Amino acid sequence: MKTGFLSLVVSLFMLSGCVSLNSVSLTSVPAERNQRVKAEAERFIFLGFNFDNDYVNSLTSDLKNQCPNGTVSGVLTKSESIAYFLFFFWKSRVTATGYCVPSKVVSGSNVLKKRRPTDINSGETGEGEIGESVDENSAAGVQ
Amino acid sequence: MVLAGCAALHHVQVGEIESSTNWVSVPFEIKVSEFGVDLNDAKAASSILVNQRDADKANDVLTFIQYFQMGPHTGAGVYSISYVDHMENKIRQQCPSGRITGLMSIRETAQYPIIKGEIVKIKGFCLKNKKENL
Repeated sequence: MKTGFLSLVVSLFMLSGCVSLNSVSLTSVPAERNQRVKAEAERFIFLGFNFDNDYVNSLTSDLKNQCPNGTVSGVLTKSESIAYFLFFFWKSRVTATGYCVPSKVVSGSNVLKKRRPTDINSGETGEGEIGESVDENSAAGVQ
Repeated sequence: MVLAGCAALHHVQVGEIESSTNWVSVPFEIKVSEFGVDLNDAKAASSILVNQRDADKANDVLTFIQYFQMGPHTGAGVYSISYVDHMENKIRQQCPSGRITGLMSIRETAQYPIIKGEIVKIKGFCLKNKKENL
């Protein structure tokens, strides 16, 4: 009887999932995928007391530092929660992975030069001519 | 403890990041929020604050309202979702040149008893030419 109960408890612990996925997002994946970059931010939370989410702010800077003169593309962002013991201790983790495309392949400044300024009436026309071919999706960079 | 709001993170998305020595990255942040009400919290509060008979009536009314709020949702219900409609304009105000990179969008909730702050935050970098006046 006692062994059966223990087996049941152990089985429940083994079979129950303790990681849950909150959100996933992915941007355009580049053809050049030689250099992989990764940034991770996490916070250990006790009894659900978490007064801000500022720990995720470092993600962009971390990725940027790993690719100082290029473009980070194909960014997979994953937000997950990991439960450790009941609901007393758990961890919130955000992981961002992507590929660093060096400026030799895609020159950041060349892409920028082709960009049409979002506000033409502001008086600033940027480096690109208004009449030239512009990729509308990359013009504002808004996801 | 009661007055301090807990923050719940719902969604994070990191966009493409461009770096170049020819440009200076100037960080910017935009935050919009809307007032939300958690009816389950309201039910719990009514059972504590008023007598049992009135609490039951309030419970029935709140349950009736909840029937109209069923379905998948993130955070507590808000009375207007138009608060996120002008995000693009706000980004343009922050970076008139339009050279934006490293956009990170964060969806979170500031949780207080009954009242919730439903927040959308956008962080990014405005690329400026080194010659431009920062």
